[in-house]
Amino acid sequence: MSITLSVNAMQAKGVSKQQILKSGVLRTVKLIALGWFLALFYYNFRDANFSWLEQRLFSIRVMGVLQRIGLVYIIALACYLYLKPKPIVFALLGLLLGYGALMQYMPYKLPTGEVTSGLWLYGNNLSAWFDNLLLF
Amino acid sequence: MFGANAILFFMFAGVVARILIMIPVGETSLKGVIFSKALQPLLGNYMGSFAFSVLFLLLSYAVMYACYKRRIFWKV
Repeated sequence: MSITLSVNAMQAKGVSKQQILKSGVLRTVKLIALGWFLALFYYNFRDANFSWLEQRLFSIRVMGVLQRIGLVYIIALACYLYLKPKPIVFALLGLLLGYGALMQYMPYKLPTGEVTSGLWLYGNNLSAWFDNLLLF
Repeated sequence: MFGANAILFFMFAGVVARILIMIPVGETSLKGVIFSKALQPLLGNYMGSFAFSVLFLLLSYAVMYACYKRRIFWKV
């Protein structure tokens, strides 16, 4: 995402941090909107029973790829604007290790009621459990 | 060409891929026909599927190259 390049260029022109953050928020909103557009841009012309409202809009995958990029972008931008390099390194390590530790050790409940932890399976891991918690 | 226009490439690939599966051709889609009538008989299951990806990539590259030449960039 080359935040360093664009932010340094803008700061060289005298653009304030708040202004940069503002355009960053706008960028996040645009990325999320594009992601939702892609999620909704499908219609099944061959299936008479296809319901765009039911199967696309109401069951939309809220957090698609572009949406995630948008969120990560604004957080990374804020870090770059307001943190010095060392705290950024600590934040990076903390996030990485914290995420890994949670994925490995935090217990969560399967749909069957069984409690488990440390599964790194497709669709069955702490992150997937969290996604489902937010979506339904 | 892809890096300079990452958003355009991502949106282009997403929209065109969806259009290919949305256009109905008989029992299947345009994408299905390209694979089952051309690529699969010529190259087999795996190489046919691979060829589809490569063709799609070449198409995307051609479009991105044309945009790059004309200095068209989609900045978000």
